[in-house]
Amino acid sequence: MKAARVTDVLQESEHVWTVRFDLEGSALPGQFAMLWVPGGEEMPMGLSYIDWGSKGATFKVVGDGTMALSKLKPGACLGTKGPLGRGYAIKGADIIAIAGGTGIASLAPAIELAVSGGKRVTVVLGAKSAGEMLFEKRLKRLSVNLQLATDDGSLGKKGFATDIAQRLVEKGGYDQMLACGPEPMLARAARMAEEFGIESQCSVERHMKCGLGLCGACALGGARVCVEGPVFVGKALLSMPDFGKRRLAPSGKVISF
Amino acid sequence: MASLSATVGKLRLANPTILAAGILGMTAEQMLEALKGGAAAVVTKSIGLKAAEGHPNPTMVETECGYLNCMGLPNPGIDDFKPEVEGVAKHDGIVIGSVYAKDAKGFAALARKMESYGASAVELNLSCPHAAGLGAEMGSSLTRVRNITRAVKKAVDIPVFPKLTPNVQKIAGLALAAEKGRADGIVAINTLKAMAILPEARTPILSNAYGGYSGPGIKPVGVRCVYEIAGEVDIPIIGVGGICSGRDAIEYIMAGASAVQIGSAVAAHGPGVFAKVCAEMGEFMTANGYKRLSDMVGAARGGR
Ligand SMILES: Cc1cc2nc3c(=O)[nH]c(=O)nc-3n(C[C@H](O)[C@H](O)[C@H](O)COP(=O)(O)OP(=O)(O)OC[C@H]3O[C@@H](n4cnc5c(N)ncnc54)[C@H](O)[C@@H]3O)c2cc1C
Ligand SMILES: Cc1cc2nc3c(=O)[nH]c(=O)nc-3n(C[C@H](O)[C@H](O)[C@H](O)COP(=O)(O)O)c2cc1C
Ligand code: FES
Repeated sequence: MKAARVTDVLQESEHVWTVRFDLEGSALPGQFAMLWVPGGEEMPMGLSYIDWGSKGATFKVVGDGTMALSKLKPGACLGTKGPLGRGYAIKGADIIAIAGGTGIASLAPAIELAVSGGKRVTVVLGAKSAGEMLFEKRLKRLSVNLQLATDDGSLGKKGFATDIAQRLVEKGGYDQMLACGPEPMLARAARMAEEFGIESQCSVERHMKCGLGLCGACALGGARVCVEGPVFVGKALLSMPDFGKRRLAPSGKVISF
Repeated sequence: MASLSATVGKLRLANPTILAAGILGMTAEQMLEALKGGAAAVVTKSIGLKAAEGHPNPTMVETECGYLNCMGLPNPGIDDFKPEVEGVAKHDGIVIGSVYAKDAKGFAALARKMESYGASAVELNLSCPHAAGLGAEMGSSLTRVRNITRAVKKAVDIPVFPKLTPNVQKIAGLALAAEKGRADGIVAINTLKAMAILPEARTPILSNAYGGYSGPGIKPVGVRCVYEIAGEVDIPIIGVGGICSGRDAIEYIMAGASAVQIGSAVAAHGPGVFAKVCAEMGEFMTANGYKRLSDMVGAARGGR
């Protein structure tokens, strides 16, 4: 475990925060880190910033661990393991990225990398409502085709991100689909990509304990999400009977989504 | 070609490598990955009577020469674990069911269920160093090791392997107690009780403060334990602790082990580590004129 220093803590929306810290080294977009506020619970977080000298995580406050992260002050000590796992491998010239909720956190660095690599990028950014739209400004600064979608229609188009994406994909032209969000959304995205013959890469979540590929807590099919994931090729996910349907609770009990 | 086939009492194995308890042993699919990766058998996660979440995170941290963990025996409970054991057994995989309980009656009940699900043997976790009142806390008592082993032996027909803790003055004494309880073999070692501190945070990293040390750093301790146990008992020994290569495995075999388990090395090498270790063992045997694995068992003991 490495001790990093917190450099910035930013509130992005009512429940979403970004913590920046001075962890040095290279990281791939889509990789994650185990973050630990000493004395609290350690948890996995996708990296929303992957600069050499500075990393970041953008997260929704859902419990004690994320609450403690949001209350950090610059200068505080943050225990880190990582970067861990496999990130996005961007392929082709024309990319469509689909993000649901905090899913944009780990997709944003991939989108930035694709744009700087000269790819054409379409981003479908979905949220429940206008107040929860994340990274809209960060993406507007890039030359991407940005499509906003909200469940209640309070910003952008009304509907699920996958429905908006479907209309774009039907017109054709995309080489690759990247997706991060709730698993039922990922299952729809992966199936859509299959149907239209596009390669897809989806970032999935499982309850994680060790983050090192040993304890088996993060099982998905025969894979360990912390090592072989969190980003998987959609085709591989669709061949796993538990994808989109079942996962392990912290005890190892099998539970449905 | 040197033959790697191994026998541990009644258990016949295609090679001497087995997946250690608590590594990838939560689901059938993951255990099948270890078998695909070359393991001759798999040990399940240690399973108890009821579901338990284990300790909160941080439960694992990397150190210079291995890992510290305080998983705290998370498991779905024996009844929910049935499909996982059956899922391996139905593909003809050899499953060793690891169980833990707070008394002999609990161990016997769990072992009976593992047997009915299709396990080929049971391993008794008398050695977890980070679960209050369980594991090593009972596994350090000679009478309890003997009585628990005896109770499980009465309950099942499959082989019974108590797994011992190195966190005692004399591990060979525990092995002798297990043999008196009619154990079919001994598994040694579980992790070493240990601690890691993050200096910047001025606090132990693991949520349980103490954890168990595994990986390359504990291999010399494990080899010493197996050597001592082999001098004390006649039943077969399964060696475990820090094995990453064929040479590591051979150290255990020459100390007196009939087979080995591999855990932490799965992190660095993936589930393919078993085939890697076997290939390296085969090369060593060919280069040094060993035809059978049994020719190496206890070879470093010089008749002791
Ligand atoms: C690879 C990966 C990347 C992630 N990236 C992000 C991200 O970028 N932004 C974000 O907001 N969230 C992310 N998460 C989810 C995040 O880990 C949980 O929201 C966080 O652990 C909640 O902790 P808590 O103590 O606040 O809540 P708790 O009250 O402990 O739990 C609330 C819920 O969070 C989830 N959770 C809790 N502990 C874990 C754990 N150890 N592993 C996985 N899920 C857990 C469970 O669904 C639980 O029901 C990611 C998860 C994974 C596996
Ligand atoms: C993450 C982890 C979980 C473990 N869980 C168990 C367990 O449930 N039961 C058990 O008897 N041993 C457990 N162990 C101990 C291992 O089975 C093994 O005895 C020990 O790690 C030494 O072997 P190694 O160095 O090859 O890992 C666990 C070890 C690790 C690292
Ligand atoms: S979290 Fe332990 S194996 Fe992935």
